[in-house]
Amino acid sequence: MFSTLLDRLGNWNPQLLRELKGRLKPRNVAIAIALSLVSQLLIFTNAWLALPGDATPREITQHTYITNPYCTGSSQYSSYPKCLLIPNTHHYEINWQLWNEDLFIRLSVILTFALLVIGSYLLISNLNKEQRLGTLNFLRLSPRSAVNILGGHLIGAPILVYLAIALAVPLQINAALAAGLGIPELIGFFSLAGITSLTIFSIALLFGLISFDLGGGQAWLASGLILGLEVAATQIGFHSPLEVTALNWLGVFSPITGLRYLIPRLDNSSEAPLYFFQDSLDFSSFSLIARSNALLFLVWTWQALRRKFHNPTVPLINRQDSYLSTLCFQGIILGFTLQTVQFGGYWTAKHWTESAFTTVTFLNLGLFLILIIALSPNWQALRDWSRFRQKSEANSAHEGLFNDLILGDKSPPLVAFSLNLAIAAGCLTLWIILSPITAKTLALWTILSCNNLLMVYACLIQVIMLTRLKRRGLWAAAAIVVSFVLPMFMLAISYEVPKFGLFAPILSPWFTLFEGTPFARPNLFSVLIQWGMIVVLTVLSTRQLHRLGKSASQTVLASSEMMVKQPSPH
Amino acid sequence: MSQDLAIRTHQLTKQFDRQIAVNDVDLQIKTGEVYGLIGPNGAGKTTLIRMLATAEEPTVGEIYINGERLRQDHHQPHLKQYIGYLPDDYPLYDDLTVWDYLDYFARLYHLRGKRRSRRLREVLEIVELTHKRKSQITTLSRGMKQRLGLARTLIHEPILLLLDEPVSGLDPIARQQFRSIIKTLQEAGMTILISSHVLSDLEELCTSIGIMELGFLVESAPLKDLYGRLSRQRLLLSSRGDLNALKTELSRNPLVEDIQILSDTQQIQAHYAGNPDEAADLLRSLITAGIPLDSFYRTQEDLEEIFFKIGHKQTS
Repeated sequence: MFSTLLDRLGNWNPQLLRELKGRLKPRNVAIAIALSLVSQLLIFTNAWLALPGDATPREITQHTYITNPYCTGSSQYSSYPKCLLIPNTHHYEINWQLWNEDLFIRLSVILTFALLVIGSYLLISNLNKEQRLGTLNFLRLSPRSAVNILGGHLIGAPILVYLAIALAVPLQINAALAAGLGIPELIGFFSLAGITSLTIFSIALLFGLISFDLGGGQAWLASGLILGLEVAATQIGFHSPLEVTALNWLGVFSPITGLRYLIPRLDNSSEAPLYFFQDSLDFSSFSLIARSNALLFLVWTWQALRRKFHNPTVPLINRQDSYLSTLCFQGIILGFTLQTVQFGGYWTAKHWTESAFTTVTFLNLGLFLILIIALSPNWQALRDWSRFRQKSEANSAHEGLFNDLILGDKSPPLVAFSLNLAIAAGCLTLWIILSPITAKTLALWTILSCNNLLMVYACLIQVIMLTRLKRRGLWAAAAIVVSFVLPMFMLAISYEVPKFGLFAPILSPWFTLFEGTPFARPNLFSVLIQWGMIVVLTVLSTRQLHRLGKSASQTVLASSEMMVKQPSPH
Repeated sequence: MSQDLAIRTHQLTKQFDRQIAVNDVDLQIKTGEVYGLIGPNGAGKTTLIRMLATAEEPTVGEIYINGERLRQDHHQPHLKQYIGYLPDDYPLYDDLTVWDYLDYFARLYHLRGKRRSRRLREVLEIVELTHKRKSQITTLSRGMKQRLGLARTLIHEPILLLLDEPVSGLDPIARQQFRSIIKTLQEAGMTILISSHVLSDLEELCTSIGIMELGFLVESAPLKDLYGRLSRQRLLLSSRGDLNALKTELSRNPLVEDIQILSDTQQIQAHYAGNPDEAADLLRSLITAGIPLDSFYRTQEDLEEIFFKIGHKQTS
């Protein structure tokens, strides 16, 4: 029976069967079970020790009061309630619902973090091992799809972690039911945790697939980053800071944020409630948004996985998908930005919108830097493309160039990137026009200036990536960091030397609304200079491309000449 | 015409940075042929084979397998089912047994149930590893691992085998075993492309030969044509008497050229342009002339000598 099941599983997914056979050895399974049980015991004991013990005879006779979070008395004179004795016993009355609620929260946090961090580590290290040995190339040559093989990795590599976590779930469910949570809510929470974990694991797989060239340590790096992301996402998700509303998006990446809506006690009334497109969120609407967000990322991550698995040299994202993803991301960002705010004191509508707008532009900076990397073909592909285009130009075949630049995988990415920027700018412009912001003209100048600057960054990256420098990626990253830090420095010293301030808006429109320094605001002068920089860098990169194409053709020619010069044996 | 071709490439080129590994190659291999690819290290043989196996994307050019265009950016499971590829470095899963390893790959190629078990037994028999089916891969010798790699390549019954340096590092017995397996596969009608530096093996196995240099395919012809065009006959004689007398007698025959005395073996070597009947006449004339002949061999230049004579020794 079991062997038939395994055989069927192996027919469906040979990779999964191989992973299971390699990992589900009796010794490993026993260790996973033991670790899970010991961890559960520790968590349970820790929670148990937080309860008040039995009342001592002295406490009973002298009517001494003790306080404890799980007691049932009033909390008039202390932060915790007073403990009340059960009549005719030496036991205190316990708020078991609250205690179980806390146990459920602890288990949820620990299990989710352990699953995501350890699972991601195992996935990446397993994939890196396959790449190091060269066995992944054999799998690429097989007729199985990327989804089948990588899906087998995804389920199989962390199977012992899944086992250990699954063993702790009954305790978690028991605590939740004892805390009075309904079964539908519990199913909602587990499904949210499931799809978020699946998305994070898929992103980890993608990272493992593309980061092999970085050398060792990717698994540690990625699991550390995931831990950081989850902690930050949980923090943001619980506090939903009004000053940076767009960052609330990050909150949906942590399933733990769902607890805020599942357990009313955790939704602190002093914190601002979270809205999406000005609709107040409850658990079902939050989990719907979080699930849709995870699903969106899941689909695009698997698109990238499929592309990269079958052909590691193609860019991460194809251009059609990039336009759609930009539109979706702008929708999500604006959705979280548009909060219903109770204004008062410092928080005027104008102040809030300016602050929210600055956050959106910063978030877009990060997104578009990732996008330029995801859209860029590698050096060799650009060189090959340039050579091929030159051949076409020689034959006067110009048709299709624009199409190629917008939709092709191997053409220079600048046109596609600028289209993505235009989509984002369109969304933001619409928002600004409809928003209560008073400085609309300045905000529109800022959108234009920010987009110009992102275009300058993209051109700069392209110019560096087309050079023959070793470690071009590192140089490009350094150039972007310098172009980001330099204007901050200029702004800082512009208070002393105002001349520097004149140049600040060219490279740093980000701070203009915050600072309010008149000279630092984007204006026609700064925009014209940015356009000038874009033109110069574009001309430079076009020349580089032509030169690359020519040198490729010359290499072919030289190699042919060498063959011709050889004495023929015939 | 293209239906008879197992492999056809058109202007196939692969460039790495400034180096052109494969340059404008038009290769045609007929169905059922054993095609040997030779050339110095770095001539582009491995890159060409990797492109045919879909392990490498061509910079420019087209590949047709059984008349169907192969595309790197398309997932073409049915074309992958046709191809069996054995690279020169053949990574194996050391934690698996021979049977589990082959079973895993058989499943990857959609072999199921009894058909899979039967095929596993067949390939183990072909590569003579039946007795090792329960052994851990780590315990196998290099030759056995090479044969296991070949078994993995054959497991899904491909119709096109791409073998890159399959006998490198093998001892003479293992090489002999490998040759006999290839002959069996050839008899079964499989098309085989094999690259190797062991030219004597290729001479024994191949029906056609391609020579690569600087990324170009500088020669591609049936082995018989190659011999006909480039291989000269050679005479090797020794005498109990004076070698100079033998040399003088040989020089009188217009079909004998380039006579050399090999002082270390006390033999005479010469190139010969005649047919077997004329060779018999020459032997008779030498005996009639009173030369005390000890031995008289007529041989032909082999593939290795042809390769050196052609002089295509440049790497790309």
